[in-house]
Amino acid sequence: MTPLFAQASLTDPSHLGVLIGTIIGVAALMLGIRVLGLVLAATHPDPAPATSGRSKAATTQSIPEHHVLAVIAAATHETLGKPHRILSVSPVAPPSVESLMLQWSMEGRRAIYSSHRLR
Amino acid sequence: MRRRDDLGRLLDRPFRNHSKGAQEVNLPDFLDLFQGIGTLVKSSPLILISRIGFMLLGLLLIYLGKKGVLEPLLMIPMGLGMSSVNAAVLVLANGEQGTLFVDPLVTDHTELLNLLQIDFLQPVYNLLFSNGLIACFVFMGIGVLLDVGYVLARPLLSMFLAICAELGTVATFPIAVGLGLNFNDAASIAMIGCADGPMVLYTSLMLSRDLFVPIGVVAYLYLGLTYGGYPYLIKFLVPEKLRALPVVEKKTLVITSSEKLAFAVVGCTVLCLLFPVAAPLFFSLFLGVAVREAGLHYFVDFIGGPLLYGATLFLGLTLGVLCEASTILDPKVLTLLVLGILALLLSGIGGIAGGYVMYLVSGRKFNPAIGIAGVSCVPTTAKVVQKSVSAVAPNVVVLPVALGACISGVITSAILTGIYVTVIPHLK
Repeated sequence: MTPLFAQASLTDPSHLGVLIGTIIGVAALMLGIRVLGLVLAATHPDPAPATSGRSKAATTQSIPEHHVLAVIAAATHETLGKPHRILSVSPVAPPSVESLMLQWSMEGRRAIYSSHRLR
Repeated sequence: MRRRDDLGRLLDRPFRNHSKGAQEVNLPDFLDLFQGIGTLVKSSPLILISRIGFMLLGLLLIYLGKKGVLEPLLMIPMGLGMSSVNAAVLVLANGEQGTLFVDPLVTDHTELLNLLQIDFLQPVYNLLFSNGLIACFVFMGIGVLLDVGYVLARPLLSMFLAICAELGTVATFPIAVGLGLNFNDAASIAMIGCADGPMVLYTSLMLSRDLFVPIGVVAYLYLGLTYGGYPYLIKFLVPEKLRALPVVEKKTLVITSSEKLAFAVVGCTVLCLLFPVAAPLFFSLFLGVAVREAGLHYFVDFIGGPLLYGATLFLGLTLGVLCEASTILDPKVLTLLVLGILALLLSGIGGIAGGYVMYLVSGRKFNPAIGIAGVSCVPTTAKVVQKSVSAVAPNVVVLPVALGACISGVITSAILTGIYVTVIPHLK
């Protein structure tokens, strides 16, 4: 043992007791909250939140794929006005945290700049 | 305390055997010429191992910073400073070992005046660091970046979560006392629970000047854990089903910039009145908010750009060069390492516990994971929450609520700093 650790107060028996007690207490607290979370999740009244991504995905999956393609083709025809060939269809990727942060930042700047007269 | 008269005397020593000629150079001459290696060889085993360890740790921090695991803005200057200062130890004029970077332990005024002309970072340290000015500069920058509108949109919710997320800051104090630290040191290390570097620096400078170097380094090293460790804590404590809960839509409350400015002015004045000792921190934070909400674009650009990033550069650099083995090695370091991680863990647990309380109070509609955003590492903890939620529910956006809690966390951390700095010196 190096002199540094030999002098460290953690090696004192009474301090070691406090440390062990603290670790046990924190572990018990974490386990308690985890158990509470599991119980609350199991008894949650809304098992499939209506606006969650998973339920939306499930809803989308329940619609026949050719129906979705027909809607997309109709919308394309209606918007562009002449025959087009749809080469591929891909789902919209959810926004990343970075893009969300950027949006909030831009919105904040817009709010600041639009709320004052230029000097 | 080492003494040096001038740079000329300082640099005499490496060449004292120069007249012997190159052909007569033996091992001691070689070690005198390359004093970084020489001082390493002549050090005690503990210092030798520590110096090599800190050099490697510095390189590791740079690597982790570059990879994005830890905050690169801090870790790259800090890591380079750490590895360089431990490599660049030389023999000073009085025969003691030291560096030409900075001497944080100097107390004699005459010696300090000499050192200001020798150690190149000594002016930065004394004019920016030891009086807490650099923490205030960072706080001004944070103030400019904060949008208190998120807090004002949900004031009670945000403040409640922020108070819960201070569990580590409060609970670590008695534990630290139980582990043998005095009140001042215990309060300083407990402040790591708020995960806010400037607060920890300010508190330790006010209360625990002898230990502020290791406490500051431990604090900034551990702040990286909020990004790396908190997602696992969220996963462990909040089941996937509850993590996917969306934010209940409510009518958007429009907070005008005048209202935000009024909040900043009144908040700053009241807090300064209550805690004059921490007034520099409050003033700096709310100055940034006031400048932003007053629409002073030139000041916003200056404080949020050159001032904030300049302060961050010198903060990381100075913390790195303060990690010279003989300076930072203290018998209490091991205790500080344990208590620092404990404080951050407890704050995270407290935040999530607060999230569960809000989940129950709101009729089981609130996402409990948001609670951990009350830990005031703005905006990191809010981003961590959003990422954890996005992993299970890609279309759920909790960021506005999380940012409100996060910004409230900064304010509650400043208040706790004020309480500690004011009250602790009166405890016997």
